Amino acid sequence: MQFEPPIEFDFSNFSLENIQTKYLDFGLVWDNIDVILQATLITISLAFLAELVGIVLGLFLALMKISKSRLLSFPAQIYIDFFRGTPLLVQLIIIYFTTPLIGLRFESLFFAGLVTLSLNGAAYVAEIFRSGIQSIDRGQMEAGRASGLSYGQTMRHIIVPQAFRRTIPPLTNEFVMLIKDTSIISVIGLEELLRAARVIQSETFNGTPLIAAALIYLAICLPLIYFTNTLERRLNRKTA
Amino acid sequence: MKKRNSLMLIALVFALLMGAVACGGGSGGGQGGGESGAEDIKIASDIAYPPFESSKGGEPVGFDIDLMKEIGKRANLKPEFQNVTFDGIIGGLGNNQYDAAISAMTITEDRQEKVDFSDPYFNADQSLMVASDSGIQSVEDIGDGTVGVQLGTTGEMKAKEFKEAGDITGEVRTFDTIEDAFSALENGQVDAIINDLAVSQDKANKSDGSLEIVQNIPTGEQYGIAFPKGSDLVEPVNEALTEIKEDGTYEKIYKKWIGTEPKEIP
Repeated sequence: MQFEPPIEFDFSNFSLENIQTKYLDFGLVWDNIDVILQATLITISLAFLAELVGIVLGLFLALMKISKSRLLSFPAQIYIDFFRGTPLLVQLIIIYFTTPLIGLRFESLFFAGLVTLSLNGAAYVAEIFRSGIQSIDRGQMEAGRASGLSYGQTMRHIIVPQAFRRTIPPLTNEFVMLIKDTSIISVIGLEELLRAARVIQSETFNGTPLIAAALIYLAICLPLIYFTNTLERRLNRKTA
Repeated sequence: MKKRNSLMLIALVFALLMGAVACGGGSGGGQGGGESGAEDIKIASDIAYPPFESSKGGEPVGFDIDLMKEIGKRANLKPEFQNVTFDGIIGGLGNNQYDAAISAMTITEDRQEKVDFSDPYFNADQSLMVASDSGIQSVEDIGDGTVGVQLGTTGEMKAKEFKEAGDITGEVRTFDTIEDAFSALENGQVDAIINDLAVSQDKANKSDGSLEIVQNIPTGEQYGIAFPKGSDLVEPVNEALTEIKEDGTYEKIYKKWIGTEPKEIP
């Protein structure tokens, strides 16, 4: 049997100079800065809007799921299982490439991406809210009901506001995932950050645009990651 | 102790992976390579571009594939095709990941800076393809409609030229494969596609009249086989190519895949 190594090293290409010209040629990025900034804006607004829609949808799903009525909790369960249990890429391809077959056509790539990311994000947000709501002491609901508030009023005025505060760190984590997941939308041709970088890379045969894209993702995500870390530490201190 | 255990586990997993890959590679490469003494060469191709390359029952077929096999016979090379995305080919050749690439690739000055090309083997032009009921007859009719292209192709470059010149004002949308672009056109998600004539023609022919080529965009471009810079395969491949062009084999391959006689041989 012939042995073929799964990876080949070609040391003639492995030089400091090559690394510099192929990965760190930032003049090339500067030449295309308008395209990159515009793409970054698309990435940020896509993630931001999808998070907003996802939070609204996710809150309803969470309330449905914890409801005593099977008629409400069962559909929510199915929804959450489907979107958490299947790959985002599969969901995107189904939503964008196959729906025209049944007469539903997305004219805007941005909107197709927004719908997919929102539907997907809502499932994760729902789980975050559900555990947040269930973490509030049962006595609060009982106290609310005893003081004459209805189930809905107690939820709205007492439980959900408290739960929301506790869910900020996991929600921010989810937002970070969402920002990174916007890159998957590039598959359908939306010129967000990853696709813009790949277009420049294919024109210049240079890796720098992708390094630049990675750095931009990092610049957006890292502050959020550190923000949640601090927040979690502070919340822990309060409850301790 | 604990750390050593986990290290050994990682080593074990790695060894298993290596073994699996080695077995896979070995059985693939071992088929009848030895006897003729032909040199195995790794050929990159975006095998989703009929009639030049497509996959039939898992095997690559098409104009480029037949031509490359014919060249292999004459130059004593055994081509082994690797399916890759088009925009990754030039980079992969630069890193010597492949020995050559045949992928309906136009010889351009930009690409020549990165790779070496064989003599041209195909005269190609660009074309405008639309849905038959679109009313678009030429590039001027597109207006602010969306034009689909494949990432990294001369079709993309041409579309961007049109956009810079103001001939079209809408979006130029890039797809990873031409098949994605075609299905977007069929779905009505793009209004037109600018792409290599022979490939779009093939698609239009198979579309039962729903898609049509409305404009030839002559560019005088020619396809070539690409090699890493300084490759010593260029010369034997060129010699074989000249033979193929002269002894009528080229016409046979052309007729088989393009369906007509070649107007002229490059």
